[in-house]
Amino acid sequence: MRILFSIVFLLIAFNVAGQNLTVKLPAEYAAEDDRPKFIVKDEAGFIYLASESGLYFHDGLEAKLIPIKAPPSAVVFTPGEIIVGTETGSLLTYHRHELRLLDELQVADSSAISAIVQKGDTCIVGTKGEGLIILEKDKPPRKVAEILSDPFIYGIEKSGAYFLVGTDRGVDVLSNDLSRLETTLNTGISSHLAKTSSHLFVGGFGEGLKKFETLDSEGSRVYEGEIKKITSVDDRVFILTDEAVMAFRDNSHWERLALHQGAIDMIYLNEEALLLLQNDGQLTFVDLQFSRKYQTAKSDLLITALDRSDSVIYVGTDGQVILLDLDGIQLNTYQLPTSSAVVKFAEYEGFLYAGTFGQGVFKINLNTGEIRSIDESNGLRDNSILGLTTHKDTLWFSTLSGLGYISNEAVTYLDGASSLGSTYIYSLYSNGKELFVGTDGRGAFVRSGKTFEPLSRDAELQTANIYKIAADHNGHVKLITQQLGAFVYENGDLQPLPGIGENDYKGYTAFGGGPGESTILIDAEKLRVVNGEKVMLYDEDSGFDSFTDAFLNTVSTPSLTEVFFATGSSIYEFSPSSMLPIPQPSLISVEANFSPIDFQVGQIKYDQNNLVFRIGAPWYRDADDLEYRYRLKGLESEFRQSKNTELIYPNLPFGEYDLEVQVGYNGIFYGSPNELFHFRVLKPFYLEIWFIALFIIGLTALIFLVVKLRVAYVNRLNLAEKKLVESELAVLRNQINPHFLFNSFNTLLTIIEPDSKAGAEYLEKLSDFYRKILEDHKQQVIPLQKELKILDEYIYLQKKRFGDALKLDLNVSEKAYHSSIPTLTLQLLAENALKHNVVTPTHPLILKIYDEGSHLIISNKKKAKRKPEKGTGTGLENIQSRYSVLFGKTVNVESSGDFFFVKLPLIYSDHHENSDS
Amino acid sequence: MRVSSHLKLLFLLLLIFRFAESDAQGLFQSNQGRIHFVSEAPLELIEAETETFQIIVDTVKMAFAVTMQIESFKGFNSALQQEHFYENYMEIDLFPKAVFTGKILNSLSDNSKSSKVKVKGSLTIHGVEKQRVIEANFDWTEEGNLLVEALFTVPLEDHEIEIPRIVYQKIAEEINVSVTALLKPRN
Repeated sequence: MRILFSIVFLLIAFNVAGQNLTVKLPAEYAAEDDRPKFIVKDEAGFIYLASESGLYFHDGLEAKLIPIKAPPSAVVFTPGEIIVGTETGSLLTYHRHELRLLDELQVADSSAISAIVQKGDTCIVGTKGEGLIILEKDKPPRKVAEILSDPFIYGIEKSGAYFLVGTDRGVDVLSNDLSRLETTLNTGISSHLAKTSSHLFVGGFGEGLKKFETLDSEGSRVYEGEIKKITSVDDRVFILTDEAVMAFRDNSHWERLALHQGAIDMIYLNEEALLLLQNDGQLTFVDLQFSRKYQTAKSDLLITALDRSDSVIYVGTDGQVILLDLDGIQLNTYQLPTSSAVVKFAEYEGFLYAGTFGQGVFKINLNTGEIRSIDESNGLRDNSILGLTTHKDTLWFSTLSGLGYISNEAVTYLDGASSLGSTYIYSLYSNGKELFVGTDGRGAFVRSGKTFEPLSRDAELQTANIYKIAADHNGHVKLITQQLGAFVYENGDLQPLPGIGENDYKGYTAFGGGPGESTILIDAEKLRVVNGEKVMLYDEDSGFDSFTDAFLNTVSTPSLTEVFFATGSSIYEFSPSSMLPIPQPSLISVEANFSPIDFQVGQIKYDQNNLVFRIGAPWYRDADDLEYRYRLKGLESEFRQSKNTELIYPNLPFGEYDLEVQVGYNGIFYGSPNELFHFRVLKPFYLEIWFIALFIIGLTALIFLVVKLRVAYVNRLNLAEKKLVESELAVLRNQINPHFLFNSFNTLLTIIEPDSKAGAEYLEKLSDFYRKILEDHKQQVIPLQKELKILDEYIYLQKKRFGDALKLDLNVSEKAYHSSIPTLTLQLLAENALKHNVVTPTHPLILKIYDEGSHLIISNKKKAKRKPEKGTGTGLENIQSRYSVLFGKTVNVESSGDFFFVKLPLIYSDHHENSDS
Repeated sequence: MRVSSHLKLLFLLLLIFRFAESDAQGLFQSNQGRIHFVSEAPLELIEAETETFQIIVDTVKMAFAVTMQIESFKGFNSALQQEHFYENYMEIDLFPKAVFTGKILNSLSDNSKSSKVKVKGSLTIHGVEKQRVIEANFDWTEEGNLLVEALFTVPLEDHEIEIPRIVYQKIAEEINVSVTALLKPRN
């Protein structure tokens, strides 16, 4: 068997004409040999249809199958998950919005899962044979079977502090922690449980249905037969039996809502409708505002007249008058002497008068059953009754021949009412105070004194055909014309009835007042309930027999709020609880940055702020024709209007938002916008106050540090500058030291005398030496190579004085030549050595310069003068501070035995090499 | 499916009988009994009965088991009818047994009166297992025996017993079955 899972929207109330009523699930979703099992509704109103092969999710636009490897037997919804129990005892958890399998747990050995109840973090599972299984977070599954009356469980209901568990042997009342059996209701097989705010209903095979006031009371049987399903909402209880859907009214009796064939499951959809699952996979609506009161045994019977008093319903057919009570129970049947269709009823002087089209009026004594005929022999000019009504103790009638009244079975025609002319009187209506007359081509009249006054001064209305006059439950008199639409009689004139357009009255068969201010009209095989601009529409697909011959009762008093009408062989009661079923918008999914998110959470990260909302209005026919008004409160103040169901909001700034949606048709939106989704886009961390504070503190610290370092650096530079100046000064002071000059000149003098040429050479070297010093003294550092040259000049000059007593032993590696050295360091050291040591041929001063590791070492053998030459005394100190300031390095001065060492760190740097050029 | 359910049932039966051996209290077993079935079709009335079957009731655990050989049914109108019944409908070569095991849902009254009880269990006929709830009468006799009586119907469709088109007016779609058994305490 191939199931299309077609979803037929039978019996659904709606507000626009001409809509196609059928929606089908795509056939490709249905597997071969698939069989429907049950239906469930989530809290947003979406329907899930469980079949042998899985779970169909229908969002109102399209269906998705969640394949499940074993037939599902129970489904429960949590904010983020769908939990499915299977016939093989598994519990499967699906992601609520992505519909992917999250978790799988075999909880029962082999029994089917019959019920799942979620209570906080605890999941209570009922099985068909293994009792209850309790799943708690981070704990192994726990079985509860011993304390139960039977391990075969049908259902679990939460009731106050108790859990009610329906088993094969009754209803076990368990303590809240499921550890204790309080009592067992002796209800036999308890396969159906339902709870209202005040009662518990228990039904089962061969047990009918029992109602319990309290858990320790004896229940009372409220239904005898077998029930297939029970469902309750608030205080309403509905049962599904083999033949019908029934509602429990006033806690006492059952009212049949709809007949059906082969329904296997039922859920409460909304205030207006129940949804039935048929065994072929079709879904059918049962309108809760209608109930079928009476169905004649003979389906070929055609009801031709219907009226109602305060306590009974009069039904007229061909040659028969049937009396029903208001619950549709047949009280009596009156066979008329001749076969003729009854068209009108009126109560007068304790008798029921039935007007027929062709056989005059029959006067029926409801108590004795005596029927008397009033026809041409009593003065009727013709036997075709058009109108019949009681007005102020007078029984008024109209036939094809005119208007009159009947008194004591005597007929009097009112020929004097010349204002009516000689037209057909289609309708007579009395609201108790006034008598209204509707004519063929002369408009409507109201009886005033002895005459009839036109209801309207409008010339067009004065020539209209008035088909029917009636009043709504608020007492407004309304009429329908053949050509001009419907009107309401207000302030002595006729006002057009809003909501009934030009095309709405053509081919009408019935017209009447409805609950409140509403008007009901049946035309073009459709029933409309019009209230202001709101229109509810029903057609034959809505489960009615036929609308081609429909009759509405016209009795309208504020105390009787129901409307009865008859179509074909059925009588329906219409008592709308709310005037208009408004399609309710629902949020189907939310995507953030193109991936679905769990919109129950309501918090969105600042970098997930590109949102796409998918909305819909589930279970309203032709979802494609719905229009939406929506706005994202917090971002926009104006509503946008679109048929689009995908609302895209890129790059939302942080803040609080409300998605508000309203659904409508043809630009008409009812009700107030529904708040579908309240959420918050979280503040990015970099805008959080703590982060800003931290950032400022960090920045301040950084600036402080940089400034501090910079200041230290500048200070060091300044110091270096100062030291350089100092050393320069020291050197210059030394060079223009009178001793040095005196020595130099003496030397020069000794040379010039024997050898003027050597003298000239010496002088040249001296001037060279001074030039080099003057050249380089501005530079902080110079290459060692250059420094050694200066030293060489100096040693040459000094050698002329000391001869071989002064020796320079230079042993510097190639690499060290490229190192840098503060200007005039070596020269200062050489001067120092000369200053402090004896320099004689017996005690020569050998100045050794060599590099060792990372140091340049200047050493000499100590032979201290008894009276050292006077110097600035700052030479060594100056060198040390220059090394420290310029390079952050120390100069070691060691005196080891007879030797004196100065260890200068070798400085290699690009900067210093560059300064070489 | 068929084989496994069969095995399961045998296993159940074994369990019950084993239990019976170890502790006989509350156990009742039949010595005398009758299972009778009637198929009232427009054109033909078929009826047959057997007196050889096993039934055991555990009044403490409130469980029961019935098992019978299909071929023990006797009393058909003709040998041909019997052969049809065995071979064509019941397929006794494949499914020689019918089994009904389950639990007694209502408590049995004291050893004096009769009680109308519901029993629920799995009925296996023609190799197809069905969950059934059946009403039965449990009468205590003066000797302390247990007289069990039950009347129920078996829809052929439930057990995948196919009726050939030609004879469908000869076999009712629902077979009426009556069971009577006198159970004695097991020693």
